[in-house]
Amino acid sequence: MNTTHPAFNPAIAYGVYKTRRLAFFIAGLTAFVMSTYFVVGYLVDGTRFRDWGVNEWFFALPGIGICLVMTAMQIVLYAKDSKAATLTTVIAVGVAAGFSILSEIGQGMERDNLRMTSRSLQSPTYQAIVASMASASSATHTPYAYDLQQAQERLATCRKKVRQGIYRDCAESEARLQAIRDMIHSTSAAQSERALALAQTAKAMERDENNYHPLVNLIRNSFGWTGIVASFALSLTIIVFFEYAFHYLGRLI
Amino acid sequence: MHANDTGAVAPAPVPMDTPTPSPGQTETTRQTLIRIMPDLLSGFAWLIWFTFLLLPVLFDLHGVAAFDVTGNVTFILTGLVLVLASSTALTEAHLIRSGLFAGVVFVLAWWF
Repeated sequence: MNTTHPAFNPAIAYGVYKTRRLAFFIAGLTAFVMSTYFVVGYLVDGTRFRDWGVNEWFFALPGIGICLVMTAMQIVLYAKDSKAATLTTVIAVGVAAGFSILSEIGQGMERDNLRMTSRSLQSPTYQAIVASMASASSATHTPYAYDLQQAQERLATCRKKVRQGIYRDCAESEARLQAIRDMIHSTSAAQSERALALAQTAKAMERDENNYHPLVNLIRNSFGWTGIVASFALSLTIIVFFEYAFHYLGRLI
Repeated sequence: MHANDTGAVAPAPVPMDTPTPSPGQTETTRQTLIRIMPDLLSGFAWLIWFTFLLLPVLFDLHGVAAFDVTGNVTFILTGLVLVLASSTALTEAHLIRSGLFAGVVFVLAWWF
């Protein structure tokens, strides 16, 4: 090393080295936190550490361990001289980076999904449909209840008169009662159909893809992809650049 | 004998409102722009990170409270790593890489 060069200052060089080492450490820590957040969240269904019992920790610890090993592998491999890379090193980097990218993408997609779902559920149209569903399913009033009661009374009176020999039969009363029963049945069927249609509309609106982030919508509309594919593409882009930055910082120390 | 050798002085050009810069001056301005461009790029990346990633999480802006705190922190750290990589690339004179990292910080901040 030529320390006699006028532009070289060992103190500055050491300061730069320390700064870059710190940046690389932050990158490694970030990669570990991102992977762990997704993997542990997947294994334990949430990351509320304070509420965890033995059962949750039993599943979480292997997840944390796997992420720790994978991130340590990345740190070691990224800090290595890339010119001396062997096929094994390249494969190892591929495995470590692949694991990291997949877990980090999962986190980004979950964020997109949560944002889209919560916006859909807060939509005024969706709220109105849910309110209609509630009123439709809880409706117990039948508009023909009074008519039914009247028809039943008239039939009873008619049968009484048949027994007394005043009337020959009650064909008219029976027909009237049957007609009212048919109307009640058809009204009930129409209400059920309406409730079912509302439920189907509400189900479709629970995940309205127009409520994705504008960037996701831009990709979705530009390429004609579904929301989930567009969300994957956006997360992939961000995470690949993050991994590249991580690798770049490692290469410079 | 040439007419100019008679001693007559040619009329001076009328000065314009905006003097035409000499080629040397133009080069200096361009060099200055090139010199400050990396600093501007780095400043832009740090500003975006601070304004659109760090501040919203610290002060619950733009509805970030709807998301998990750990998730928000990981994206702040992701942005920080990209900004650090952008600044480091500038010191290595890797301008394209620096610009790419700064651009991704912008995309991340917008998406966040």
